[in-house]
Amino acid sequence: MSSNNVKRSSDAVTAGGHGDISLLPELEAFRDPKSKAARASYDDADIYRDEKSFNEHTLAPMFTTSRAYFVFVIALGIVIANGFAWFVAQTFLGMGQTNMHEPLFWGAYIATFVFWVGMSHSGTIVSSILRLSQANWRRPILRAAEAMTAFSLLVAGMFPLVHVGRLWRVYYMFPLPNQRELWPNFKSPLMWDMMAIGIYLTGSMTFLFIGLLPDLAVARDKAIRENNWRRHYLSFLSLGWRGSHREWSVYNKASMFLAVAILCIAPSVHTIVSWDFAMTMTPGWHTTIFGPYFVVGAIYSGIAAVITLMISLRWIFKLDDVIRTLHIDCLAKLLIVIAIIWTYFYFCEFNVVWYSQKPEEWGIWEWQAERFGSFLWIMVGGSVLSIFLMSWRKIRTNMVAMFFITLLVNVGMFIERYLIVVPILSHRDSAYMWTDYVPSVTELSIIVGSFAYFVLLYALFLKLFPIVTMADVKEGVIVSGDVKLGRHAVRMQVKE
Amino acid sequence: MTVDLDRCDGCGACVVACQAENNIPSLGVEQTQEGRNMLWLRIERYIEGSYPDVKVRFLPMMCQHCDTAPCESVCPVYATYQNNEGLNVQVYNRCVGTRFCGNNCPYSVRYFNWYDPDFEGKEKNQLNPDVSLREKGIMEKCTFCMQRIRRGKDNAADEGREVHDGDIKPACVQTCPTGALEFGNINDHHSRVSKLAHSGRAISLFEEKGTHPSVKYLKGGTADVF
Amino acid sequence: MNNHYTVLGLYKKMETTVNATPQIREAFNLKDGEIEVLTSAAYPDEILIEDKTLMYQVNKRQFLFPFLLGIVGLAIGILLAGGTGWIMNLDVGGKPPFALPPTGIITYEFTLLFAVIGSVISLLIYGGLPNWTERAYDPDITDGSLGILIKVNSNEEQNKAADMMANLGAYKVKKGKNDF
Repeated sequence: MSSNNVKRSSDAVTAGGHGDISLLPELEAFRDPKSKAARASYDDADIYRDEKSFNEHTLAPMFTTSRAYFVFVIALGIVIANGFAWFVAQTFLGMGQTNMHEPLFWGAYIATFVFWVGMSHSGTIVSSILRLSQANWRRPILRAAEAMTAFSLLVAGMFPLVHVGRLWRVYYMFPLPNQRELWPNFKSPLMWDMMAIGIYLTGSMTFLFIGLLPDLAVARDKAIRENNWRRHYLSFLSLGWRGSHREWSVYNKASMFLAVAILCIAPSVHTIVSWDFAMTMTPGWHTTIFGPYFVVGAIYSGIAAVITLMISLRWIFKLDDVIRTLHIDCLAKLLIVIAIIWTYFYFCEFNVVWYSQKPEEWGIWEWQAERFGSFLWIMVGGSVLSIFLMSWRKIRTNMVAMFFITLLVNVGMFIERYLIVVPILSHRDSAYMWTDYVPSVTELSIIVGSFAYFVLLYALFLKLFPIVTMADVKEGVIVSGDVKLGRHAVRMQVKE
Repeated sequence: MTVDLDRCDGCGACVVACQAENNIPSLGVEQTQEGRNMLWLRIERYIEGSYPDVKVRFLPMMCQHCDTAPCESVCPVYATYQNNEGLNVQVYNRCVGTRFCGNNCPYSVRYFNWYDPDFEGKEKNQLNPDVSLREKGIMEKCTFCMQRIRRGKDNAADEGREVHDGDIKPACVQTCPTGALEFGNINDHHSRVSKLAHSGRAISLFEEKGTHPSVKYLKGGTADVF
Repeated sequence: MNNHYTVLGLYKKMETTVNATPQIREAFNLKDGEIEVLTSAAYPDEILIEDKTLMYQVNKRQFLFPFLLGIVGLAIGILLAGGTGWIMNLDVGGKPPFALPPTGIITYEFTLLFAVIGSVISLLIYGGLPNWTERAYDPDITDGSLGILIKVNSNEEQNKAADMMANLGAYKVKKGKNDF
């Protein structure tokens, strides 16, 4: 899109030595920012960019900080402090500060927990699938997606702590040898959940860190050159990375292995989260579809969140030539597929209950429609509408439209989690205990605080670590070239 | 335990007795409006028909002490398990308050301490020393008056005999004016409970869930074993 | 460790580097592990260092750690989920003390956790990381230059190698001692 930023000095040090390749005339016309072809194209290449300016450009979000950033961080801090204060009050006074009551023992906290765990799924799944399938367009967006995973998991991991009645006794759940001679009960889905989340957090943090290594070295060199304060932790964290052939070879193997491992862990995590519900005998929760349905829902909301985030990054840090329209377009296509699967699963879940009309299950749907009808419409309608809208390339490549569509998808997915927890628990087997629930100020403050916490973590990450997967982009440049096919010049991808 | 639904007139004496026996705090108007009334034993009212042909049905509901209790397996810290008397026991000190058990109980008879219990004035002097107080953040529920079962067994052991039918009476059974509640050993074929539970009138609540409750409800029919 | 001398030549183009590496290697009779190419991105194997027998061995062994630790994780998973069930042996909801599905789930998770840890360990061991000591390096490398780094035994050889690298198109040559 903004081809103006692409610098093409003739004496440029290009990564793969492609500076030597004389451009085909058609290609030259194609690359001309003023040409019609370039304006029609959403694939404005960065391969002729000189690597040093590429580094400078992609590290700019990290090394240059505006005043607005500090204002933003302070504002986030206030929101978080507010949530934290309510959390402290809740811990000291008791869980009565929430609006939960018998038999609605789980409320908005658990819904938000599921939401955040869901958010965490796109990052690593997208990045490992794309890594393994060697999709070329993946390259610049991996880091942003992986960081999203790690941070949303951190936020999600906070919610069980907010939720439990006796926070000071939560270590009873850890499998540690102890004097009480009491081990946790591994037959409980909550134990599986805790293990899975902990392991996923470890795995995705590792994935993030290993992926960071070469880029940390780039940032380190820049920080040392500029005598920036970041040089201390960057030198430490880059582990003395030099980029030797040995390091690269081992690194590539390790990241492939980690991608496979993460790909095995991630679906299991959300399946287990779904089993927190499905393993009970509560009508409405006790369904076999919950496992795959949750996994798809997680990827759905996650990819939508990745797109929202990418568009924000593009807009805030002027990274439009790195995170290009192409990426949003490709992600949107992925999102359509996932959205269709999700909608299909949701229909399956509904249809089975609607047809059989089993009173204990159908009763919940009726209650849901009566009590949360508008929510239901936002969720289902939003999903169908987004599929419909994203079918047009014009909308997929329109950043403003995509921003709002993906936001709508995530609002819908938050509602979905809320509707999984609340209507079902307020409509239990024992009709005498049917109840209603609206989250209290405490709950809302903590939930809003959690969103601010996520954004803050991300904002801090942006300033401390490189946000663009530079090494992957450079690798993509090396293994690609332009080949003339008939009258057209085509970008070729060489399989490694 | 058996509950004769045809005998129950919904007077609520059992509820009060339970509350007094087990140190259950009365939560006051505000908390009750929130729906947090902590009643280990509650009387559920169901209204049948429409005016003027209205019938009110009462259903005393307490922990059913299921044989395959859904609440037990989901607890991550073994805070609730099946003891060898067949009771579903809650270990307060182990509980961390995940409240998963409450979600998996089809009878909704598990209660959570949303706040620290607050016993004021005279209430403090009438606390039962045999029953521990529960702090905020833990689950609790009907224990079938565990302390009375213990005492009954101890007395029998002191006298060097087996526990007789009728030796042990939970507070609700002791108080029930119509004799709707019966308590005893269901494995003892001569006990009143066993006879009632095996009469044609006995039903289990939510039998289709496969929880195998220890509490049997008696309903309909005229057969009376006594 | 016996003393060695290093030479780091920086090149701007891949073609020149690919051209220079075998010549330098032959001239000084360098074995694997005595010559390295430093780059800012992962180049496909065999483009920069043609003889990769050593690399091949390293890569094969790289899966040893994840595999072994995966087995450790498997054992820990079984012991935790199954073993502690035996020790506690409390009847919860009529479930058997050793229940296969939960044990399977926990074992799966722990196997993967330890495999992840193992792959990081093997990355560190076989990649020679972390190494925070001063080593032959130039920040130009992350800006897109390619560096040929060699290890020789004497000062004369070092000077000779430096000249040769410059002749083969290096725009900058750095000499060092004991910092391969």
